[in-house]
Amino acid sequence: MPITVSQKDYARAVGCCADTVCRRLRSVPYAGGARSRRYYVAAVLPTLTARERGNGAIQRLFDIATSDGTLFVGDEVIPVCRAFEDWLDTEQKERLTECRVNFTAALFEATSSSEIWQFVDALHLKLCLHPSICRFVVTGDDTELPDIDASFAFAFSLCNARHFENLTNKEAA
Amino acid sequence: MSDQYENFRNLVASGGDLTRARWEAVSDKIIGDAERHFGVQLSREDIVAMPSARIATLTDEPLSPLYMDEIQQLEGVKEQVRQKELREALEQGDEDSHAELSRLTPEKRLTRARELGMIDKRQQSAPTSVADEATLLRRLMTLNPAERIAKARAWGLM
Repeated sequence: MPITVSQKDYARAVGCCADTVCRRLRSVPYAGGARSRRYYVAAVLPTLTARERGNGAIQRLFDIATSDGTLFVGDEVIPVCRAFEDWLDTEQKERLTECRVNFTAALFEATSSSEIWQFVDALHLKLCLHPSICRFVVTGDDTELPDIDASFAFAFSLCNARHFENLTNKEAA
Repeated sequence: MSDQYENFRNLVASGGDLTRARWEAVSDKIIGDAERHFGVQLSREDIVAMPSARIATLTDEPLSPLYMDEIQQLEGVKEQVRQKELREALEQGDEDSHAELSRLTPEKRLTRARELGMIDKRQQSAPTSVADEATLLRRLMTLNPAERIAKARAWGLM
């Protein structure tokens, strides 16, 4: 499970009322049951207003968010990753690219098997959902950034590679 | 490592017919059981390391039922079990391809089998490590994400 927040966490971090939270998160994808919805931090960040971002809401969201510490970032997350990437500014995109370049190099060190490399596009997209990488990309805070070495890249790939994943935004016919 | 049990070997060698006969009976039984229950081949050298076998040889005590657990604890056995699992995982991949082939029409079946490298037996008899890695990775992808890392470690991929 990647880094997620509940509706209450969101209200506390952003400082808005429950109704506003409900309205903003209505169309945001979530994991977990309907009663205990956990929203991907990467998916809720684009719902913040400019004023909230200026007030440090991003930092508070990351501080309040929790992760279960596994490398698996969840099913059906490609749309979340794409929306998140579109929301990033130039500097943040550069940090994401840096992570991807390191990841690619590290994965090549670990394996050259096409059984893994066939998933590399999806893995590049999913990389931004890794808790510490997400934090680094958005805030530039690299204190928790993992060593993107061969063993990390291989383990991340094993956990998150999936067959039959739809990489386009269009629904399958 | 083997010096640890030198004392025991000397005792068996100099202990007279009774001890030797007991040692042979005990070790034969354990070798037989290990093959029957776990499908592993043990040698007498492996059995020297088992406390229950040594006790049963040197005393009048019957063989302790704990010996089954001790078999599983032997380093050689662990390695053999791991190898067996690995071999099964590799062969499983073949079964998957057979299942896929049986769904195709006869004309397509031959083409597909050739693509999968199942026709050319010479090629298959000497699989490269690259091909093995690919097979194991393909097997891993059929597992639940949570199980993959553990399996990959067990198969020596990481």
